[in-house]
Amino acid sequence: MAQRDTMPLQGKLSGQAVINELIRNMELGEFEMGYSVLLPCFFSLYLHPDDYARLEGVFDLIAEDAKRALGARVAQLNTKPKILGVKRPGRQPKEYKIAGRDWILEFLPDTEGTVPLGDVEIHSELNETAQPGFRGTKTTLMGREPSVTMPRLPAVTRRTSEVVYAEIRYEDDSGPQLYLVSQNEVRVGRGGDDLPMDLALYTNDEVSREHFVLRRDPATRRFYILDKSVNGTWLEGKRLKKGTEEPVPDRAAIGVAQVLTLSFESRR
Amino acid sequence: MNATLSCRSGVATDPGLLREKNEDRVYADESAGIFLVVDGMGGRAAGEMAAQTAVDVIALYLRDSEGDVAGAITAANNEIYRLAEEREQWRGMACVLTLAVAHEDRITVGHVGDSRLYLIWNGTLRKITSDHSLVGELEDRGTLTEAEAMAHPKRNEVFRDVGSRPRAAGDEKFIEIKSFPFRPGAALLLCTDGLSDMLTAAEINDIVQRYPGDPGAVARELVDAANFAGGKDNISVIFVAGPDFLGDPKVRNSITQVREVRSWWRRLLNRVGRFLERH
Repeated sequence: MAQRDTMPLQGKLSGQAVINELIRNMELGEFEMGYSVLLPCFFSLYLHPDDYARLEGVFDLIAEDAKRALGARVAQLNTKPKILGVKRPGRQPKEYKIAGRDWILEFLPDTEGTVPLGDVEIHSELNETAQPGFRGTKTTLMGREPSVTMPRLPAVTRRTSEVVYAEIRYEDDSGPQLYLVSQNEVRVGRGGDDLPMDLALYTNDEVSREHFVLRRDPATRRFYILDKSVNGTWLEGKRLKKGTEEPVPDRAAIGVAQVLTLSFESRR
Repeated sequence: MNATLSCRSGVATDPGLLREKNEDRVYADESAGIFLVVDGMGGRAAGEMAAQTAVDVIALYLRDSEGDVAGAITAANNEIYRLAEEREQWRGMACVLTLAVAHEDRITVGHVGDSRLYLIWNGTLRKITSDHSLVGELEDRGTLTEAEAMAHPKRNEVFRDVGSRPRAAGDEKFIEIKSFPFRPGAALLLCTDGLSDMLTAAEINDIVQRYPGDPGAVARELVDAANFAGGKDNISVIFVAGPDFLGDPKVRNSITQVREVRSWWRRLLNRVGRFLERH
């Protein structure tokens, strides 16, 4: 489900303009179901290369602010149906919600010369998706036509500049693997039908279905690890206390239930 | 293949939109647990000849030798080379291939070139084979992103092939051999570069996760998607679903959950409309 729209704007691009446009895009991209209304939670924002260079250092801050604004708008949508301050009788209003666990915003420089200076072009998706490069294809999932403006460009041609925050190398039963981290949260484990992991280890059941979570703090760009397993997680040889978040060094060996070891390396 | 771990497979192959001939060959024998995709290279009829020879030799070889993947590919290599030496029109013909053989609960893979084997596990898709090309190596190392690799002009230059020169058994720089346990909830996808050059891993995974219970439907849908994306080369796919592979139930449910709930006044209007139509 993709929405694509450009916003004509005079002069410099402001953070507030970006956030207003995000909210507009989110509302245009709503997807109504029986009892709830899904809103897009994954946004790709394309900026003119000059704007991109100018704002590059504060993307994380814009994203933080934008997430608050989006969250506030959803809360507002969920309290709406009142007439003159009186609750409307009758049917339960539909709940507005997002499919993902959190909003995900990625900022990208426009490489096709279609976004003028001061503009922002936003593509949004209903689903947050799991792996790097695993985004933007959910559009075909329900076969719905984009509801606004121009047709969507194929996702592939535009995703040339995904930011990789860290890499994780490991060897499970399927052989050596490399996982590139381009999101702020990575859930690692064996996975299961109803428990999709970002990094699904192909291994035996000594590894928990959800074994640990890596979280990146966008403000400090540091990673933290949280053990959620039965058989334990080791950071640099030290067993983690279950349920207590620990900071992860830029290079670290993460032991998983004494079954396998992941080499984590931050690309700060 | 172990009877308790019987898997189901589906095959699709297509010349694509720009090529006249299909120089790909696929071979799938579910009961023997042998799955092979081959991409032929060489002018005129030579590419097809190389690919067909590989299929014939490997199928025959594996019938007599229990699961000797490296031996089978080496035999195919030397037969293709012998034929190419024999006739001018076949000179220089070769192919790339990926062969997966199931034995009890393990899969052994023999691989040369830039066709691919993916393992699908709990909603994620991972590439098991390396691409034997400069671009593929850079991508596997994380130097190039998938999108950069897909757009790279040297994408199709491979530095390993089957048939361009004679090989001795046990040549380590020739065949990549891998072996891993095949879990009942997993699935395999073998494909030629006509698929993986047109679709990202994400796009492939999306189609695979919508598994409707028919592996052939997945294979055909992947080929259709590659053609829709441009179909620049021959496209071949073998999809092998483990006995407990379901795809991602969440993806399927999200389709059925979508429904329209009409308001009471619209239902009333409809009823009035129907009443007026009748009278």
